[in-house]
Amino acid sequence: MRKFKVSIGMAACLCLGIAMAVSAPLAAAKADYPDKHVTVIVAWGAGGGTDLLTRAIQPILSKNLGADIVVKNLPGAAGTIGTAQAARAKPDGYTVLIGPAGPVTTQPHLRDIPYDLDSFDPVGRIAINVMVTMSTKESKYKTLNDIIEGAKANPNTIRCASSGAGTLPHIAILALNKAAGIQLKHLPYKGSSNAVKALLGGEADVFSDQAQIIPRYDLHAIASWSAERLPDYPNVPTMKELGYDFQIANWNGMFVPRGTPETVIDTLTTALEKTLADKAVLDEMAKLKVDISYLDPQAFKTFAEGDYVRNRELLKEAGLVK
Amino acid sequence: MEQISAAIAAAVMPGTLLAMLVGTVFGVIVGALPGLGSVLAITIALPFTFGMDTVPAIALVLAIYCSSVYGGSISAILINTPGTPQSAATMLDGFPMTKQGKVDYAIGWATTASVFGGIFSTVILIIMAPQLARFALRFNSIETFALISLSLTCIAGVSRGTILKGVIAGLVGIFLATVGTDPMTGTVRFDFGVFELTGGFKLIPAVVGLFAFGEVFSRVSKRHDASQQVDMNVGFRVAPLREWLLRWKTLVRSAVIGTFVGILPGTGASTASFIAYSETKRAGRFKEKLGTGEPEGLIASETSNNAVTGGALVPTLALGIPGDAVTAVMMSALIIQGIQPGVRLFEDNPETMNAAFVALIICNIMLFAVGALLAPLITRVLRIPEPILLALVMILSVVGSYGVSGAVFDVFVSLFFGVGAFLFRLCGVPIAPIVIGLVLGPIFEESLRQGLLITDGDFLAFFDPREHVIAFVLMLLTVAIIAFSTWREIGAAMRKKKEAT
Repeated sequence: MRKFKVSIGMAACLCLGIAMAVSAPLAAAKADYPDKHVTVIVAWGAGGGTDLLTRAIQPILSKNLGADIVVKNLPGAAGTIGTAQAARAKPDGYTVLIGPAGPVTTQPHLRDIPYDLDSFDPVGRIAINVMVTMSTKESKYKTLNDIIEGAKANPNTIRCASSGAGTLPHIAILALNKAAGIQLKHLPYKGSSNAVKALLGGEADVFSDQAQIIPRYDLHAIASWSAERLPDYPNVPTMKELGYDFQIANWNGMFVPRGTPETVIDTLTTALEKTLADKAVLDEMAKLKVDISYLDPQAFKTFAEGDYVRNRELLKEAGLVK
Repeated sequence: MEQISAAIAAAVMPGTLLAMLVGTVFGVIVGALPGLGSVLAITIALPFTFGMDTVPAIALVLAIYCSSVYGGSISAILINTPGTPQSAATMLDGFPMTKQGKVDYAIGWATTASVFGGIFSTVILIIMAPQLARFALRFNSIETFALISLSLTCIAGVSRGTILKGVIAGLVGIFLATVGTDPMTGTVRFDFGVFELTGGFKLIPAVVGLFAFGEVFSRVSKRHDASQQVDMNVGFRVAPLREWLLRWKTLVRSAVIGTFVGILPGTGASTASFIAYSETKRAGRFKEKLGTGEPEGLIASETSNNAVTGGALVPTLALGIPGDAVTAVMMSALIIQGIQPGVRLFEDNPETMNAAFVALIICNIMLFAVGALLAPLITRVLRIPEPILLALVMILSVVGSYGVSGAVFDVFVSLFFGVGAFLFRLCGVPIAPIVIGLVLGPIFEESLRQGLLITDGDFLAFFDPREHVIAFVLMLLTVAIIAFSTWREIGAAMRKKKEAT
């Protein structure tokens, strides 16, 4: 009997101990977050678009968050290596992912990846860059009609470059195929700059990518995949005006591993929103030609899920979903 | 004239000169450490450029670029381990020279050759960037395929005498390069369920394993004999002019090869140095002695890989299309400064670009001075007792392969390649062809499959001289080289047989 009592006492102590051990860091996380440096994972090499964006907001975000921020570049396999690392991290708010649409809305459909969009809790959307379909100034394809007519007359002959299978430029080709009922020939290249080179060298006829590359390579814009005409290109029609209601954009957002305490997400969201309204950040973004476009966690979640579902459908019809 | 003096004035400001000096010293050291290549060196410096003025920022990045490519040659010569993949061909003659105790001359040859290559290509860049950029655009998938086929014949050049083993090693390299994501469909190949392999083997951990680990393992496996140690002339010595005059053709030829290969996006300095080396093996004055510590081999490799720097800037600046990861990071450095590379770069920013060109020339001259000053210090490494030296190489290599992307997995990749390289060396299989296969394999496959998409699967259409004249000529050259080397090998075998009987 006495033995039993002791063991009850011990069990109680043990339970209490476990409860304290479990709750103590949680309570601490709530009250003191952040009390050490925060690591931001960028799943691309230094100097890439996402990296430049992250480093541009880093100092101000660090000030608003009240903690040092370390940017960790983990490139490889179309951004999935670093993104997987972020998904595996402890959900305590000290590991954060800043990343574009590809690794979370297209890659999970293409192959076995140890994460999915719902492995993350969204913190906020940072920026958005609308896709624009373009050709060269010397090209015979100057309007969307030129492309559709040409493809109807000779299916599978108009060469459309992309920056790789399953990338957003590829999604744009698939979307156009579906919307207009045509067959375009897909030429995948390694990365956007090789695709642009193919376009300039005459190997490819059409390429869709972010608007910021139009002035750099002196290209001809055919149509933009946005709801409204772009302020910088008032003469370029939108796909919607042309009768194809598709909107495609690349974006960058901040995520944390799923299961991160809500108060921690709130702290991060507040700091992010404040950062994106900062004048120094806006100036820096103007230099990088990135359009800031903040969305709160709930709106961002709905938005990203919309992209995820649409991309899955398009890739499935193209026979690319695993 | 006024423009030139304004550009010089902007480039010789004390702040700019200081930026270049810091960049050059930093680049040489990072380049010399195995695994820490040009990309990492520039990446480390990138955040510092945020707060700098435009010209000093560009000068800093350019200085790091040139000097890190050169720095790789130092460790190649000293410890038979290239600091960067670009210097893999430098070992072939650099290390034998060290073994003969002529390390001071070897560093002298390599430094002078690098400076010549760098300045030669800078001059070409200044004079004809827009025209060359237009030429680069004519190199589409099919032309690239033909050029890579030609480059693959280098395998014969770096493995003469053991040509069959060389070809096997080259094929091993190409097969290893197919691991990872299929470039056309996005499907994953040969990952054996290991998620980290879905991106394929990264080049730097692989090269660190093949050379640094491979070298350490094979030295450890041999009995250490202190009495055999050669008396080292540490220091820095440039060979007399008459020695240079004997080899001037190789100097110029390698500079041209390096600049040309640099201009074509997607190839890079490792390819250039192997092509230049095997060209020298075919046409050099001392071709018979190549591979035994002949300075001509050093000249070929080092002139061409530094000549790539100016060449690679042609498409990066004039088209806004970076050819490799290094120039991509450099392009970001410009964009951070608010300068958009591309067709309008020279019109929009004439002063800045002129100053950058002057800075590029000064960087190369500074490279010589820094090389001459650092060499006496660095070559002392050879006086460190071998066990300690090998331990240091191991530590630096682990750090180097981890540092590429901060993944422990890459360290295991290095170890795997190191053990493989050790076994290959035991069997007398040359290692350099594996690197050639690893570097060229992905471009070979990608350009072949893109070309087949374009011609609707018709391989013969690649060689239609009406459509693809450049590809046609390159393929003819490839066939001629293969026929020539086969014929020579057979001839040598016949003679041997005759002598035996």
